[in-house]
Amino acid sequence: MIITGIGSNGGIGVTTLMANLFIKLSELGKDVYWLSLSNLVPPVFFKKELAWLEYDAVLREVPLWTKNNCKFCDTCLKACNCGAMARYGEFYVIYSELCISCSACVYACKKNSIQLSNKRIGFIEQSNLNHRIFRVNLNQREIFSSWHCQTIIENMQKKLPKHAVILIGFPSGFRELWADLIQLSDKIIFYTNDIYTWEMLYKSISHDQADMILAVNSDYYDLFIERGYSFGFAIPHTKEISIEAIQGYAVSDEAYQQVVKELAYTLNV
Amino acid sequence: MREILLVSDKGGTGKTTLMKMLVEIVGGNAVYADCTFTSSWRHITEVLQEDIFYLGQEAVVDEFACMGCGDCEDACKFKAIRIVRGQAQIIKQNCTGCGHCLQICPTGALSLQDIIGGKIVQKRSNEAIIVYGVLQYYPKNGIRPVRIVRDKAWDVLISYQKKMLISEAYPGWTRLTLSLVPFANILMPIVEPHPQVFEFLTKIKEYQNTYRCNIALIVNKCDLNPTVSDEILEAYPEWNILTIPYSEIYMKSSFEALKKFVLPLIV
Repeated sequence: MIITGIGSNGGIGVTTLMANLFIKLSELGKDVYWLSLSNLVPPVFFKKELAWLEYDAVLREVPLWTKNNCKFCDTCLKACNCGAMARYGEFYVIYSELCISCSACVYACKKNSIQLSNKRIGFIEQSNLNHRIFRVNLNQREIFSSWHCQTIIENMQKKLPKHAVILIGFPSGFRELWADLIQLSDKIIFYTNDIYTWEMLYKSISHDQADMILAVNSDYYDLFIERGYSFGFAIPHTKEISIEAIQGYAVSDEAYQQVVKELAYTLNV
Repeated sequence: MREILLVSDKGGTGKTTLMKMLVEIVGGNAVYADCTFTSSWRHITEVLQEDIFYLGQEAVVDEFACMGCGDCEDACKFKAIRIVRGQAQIIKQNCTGCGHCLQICPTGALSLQDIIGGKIVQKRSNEAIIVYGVLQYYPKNGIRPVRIVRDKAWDVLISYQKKMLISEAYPGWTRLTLSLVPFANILMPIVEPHPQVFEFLTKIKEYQNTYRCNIALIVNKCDLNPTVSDEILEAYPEWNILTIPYSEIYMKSSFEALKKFVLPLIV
């Protein structure tokens, strides 16, 4: 089972919530794993003596240009939708950090001088302190794009035991991943303070894809109840909680722990 | 003309709040571009202009020509086509407009069509002009709307003859942010002192070497983890660094310090 935490804005505490949920679920004796879709892990899991072990490679199909038959007609340049191709004299360059591997250029080229090739762009790494914590670390020039998300998650599901619960954390900047993650995950915890974004998302997804669980900052909770979304969880938010989160401790606040406990039972994993 | 770009390694370090402070400090000298498609500027009432923008292309099915063979469903890399009751159906969010299905289709039922992605809004508050985008849905190729908003803001900058553009990127060092970085003269990263911040700062350092931009680093909420904030100050002595303590009213309390820090960058 895959559980994803999505935050509408950054920094409202979705990673802190997910990290505390991870701790609570492992206390309850569940088979939980953490997967970060970036090189950032929550400060709770980060210690000075932490080292990362190689677990699996991340492969990606990237178009490769060869000079063989090329007539320099620029059809591929026009076909590219995301500005990943450039021409320098008699030379085409493909910037793999901008490419989304849609292979539009491959189909556009009539001379077969562009072909797809597999490229290793990074690793899935495992923490040496806790073998249940993973992160995705890409090579320096590679940028995480929605294309990788699916292959990474499917590979992890194959490698881990069948009844494993995988918690996925990702920065709020990957907004283009939302469509993918909603399709791939079984349950989604959507943490928001903004009723406008919530309504847009809630109306736009089809509900056979995933269970949506709403979590709201307790200051904004009344606003959501007025609009009729009373099924959400109210998450407390104070300075003490932020200090504990940023310095790398589990949150000790009683009200917060109570909410996390309720959430863990609601998930029913 | 100069361009300042606000970036951060993770969400919630205070980019949008800083942007609102900059509107007060710099005022009418600049154009402000919010490339993040959030609703943070909705409260401003004075609207100058609204334009519709197109998000590339998308496949469209001709109902009469489609015979529901399902070749396109198998061929699509992004799972953007499914067959429902003997008809191909396009899932809007997943389609990237690569045009592969056009070549596979035996009856020629598919074609590409320009699609409306949303609108770009220009607003004015006390002589400061703010440009931001509203999306109809979150597309797979998120890089395109970001660039459209930034380019529109640059046109506005030229037509109003302002001195500089201040733009805000998505959090994280992703494709969305990277498409804006090469244009910036001054990069303004905002970070929180969490223990993993140095991985982000080394990447910034690398990009400074390739794109030759200036760096003005802001460490927000520095008192939450004082040991790490001190380490940042020691590690990068050549950058301009401002530290801002945590407060409930966000950065209002350190308005004067921010003014001293920002104004020399603008001349």
